[in-house]
Amino acid sequence: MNRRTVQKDQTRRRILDAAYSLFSQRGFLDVNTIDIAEEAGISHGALFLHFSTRDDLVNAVISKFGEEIAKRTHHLSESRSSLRGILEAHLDCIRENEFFYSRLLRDIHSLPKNAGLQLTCILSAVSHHIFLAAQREIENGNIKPVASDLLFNTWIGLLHHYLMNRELFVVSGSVVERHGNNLIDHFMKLVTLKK
Amino acid sequence: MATLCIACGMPMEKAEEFALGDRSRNYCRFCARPDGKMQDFAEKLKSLTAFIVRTQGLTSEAAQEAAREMMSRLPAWSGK
Repeated sequence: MNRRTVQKDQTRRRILDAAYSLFSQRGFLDVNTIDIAEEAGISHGALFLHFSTRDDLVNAVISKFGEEIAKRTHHLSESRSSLRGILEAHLDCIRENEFFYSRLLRDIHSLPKNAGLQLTCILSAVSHHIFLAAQREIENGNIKPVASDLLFNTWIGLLHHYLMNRELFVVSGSVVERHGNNLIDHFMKLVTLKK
Repeated sequence: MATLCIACGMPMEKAEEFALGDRSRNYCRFCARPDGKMQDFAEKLKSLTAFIVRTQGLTSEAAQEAAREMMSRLPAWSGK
């Protein structure tokens, strides 16, 4: 890569990082491209050399986030094979991006349609890893036989409720840190077979 | 460091995750036909749609729309 390409990549990354940080703090709807350019330390016009519209930028930020979640979940699921272990790995990933993810869930219906479709794909990747672990435990007789979609929807419905309504569950700080273990314990009780 | 499958975006780390266990391939085992060649657009759209239905219980219409969006962002299908 020549110097110009490297610089271009660096600026693009700075814009994505700035947008990620502002969306995490203020949500997707209250941040405009002027704020993002300022946070990235570039001119407003320069931002549009990298992203032709605000929607393009929003989609790119979500896409980068989705890629990281997919990589992290994939990597963590290698080392933790139990259902509980995968749920802990999932919460670890969410914790690292908790404010961004909570804002994304809240604002998703006001964002371009592509954003919602991207979120659907991210969730399918997570569901896949959760079910792979669950399937092993279903075969071992530890977990009730539950369809993969309902197993995942039960978990994600619970988790998303806490994330989307975070101010009802924590005064400040992380919902995952405060409630994560309880949510896993509760979910495991629901799906574990009594012996 | 994982590389991403050009056709479905799955991270690939271990050799067995690559098509035919061959690390020089840029697509994963789920995107390969039995002979190792990469699936075409229609095959991949169908399998990704089924994957989304199975993992989240969506309608096939909603799942296909999400699968198309995902594929539009992957190098193997740009411009399709």
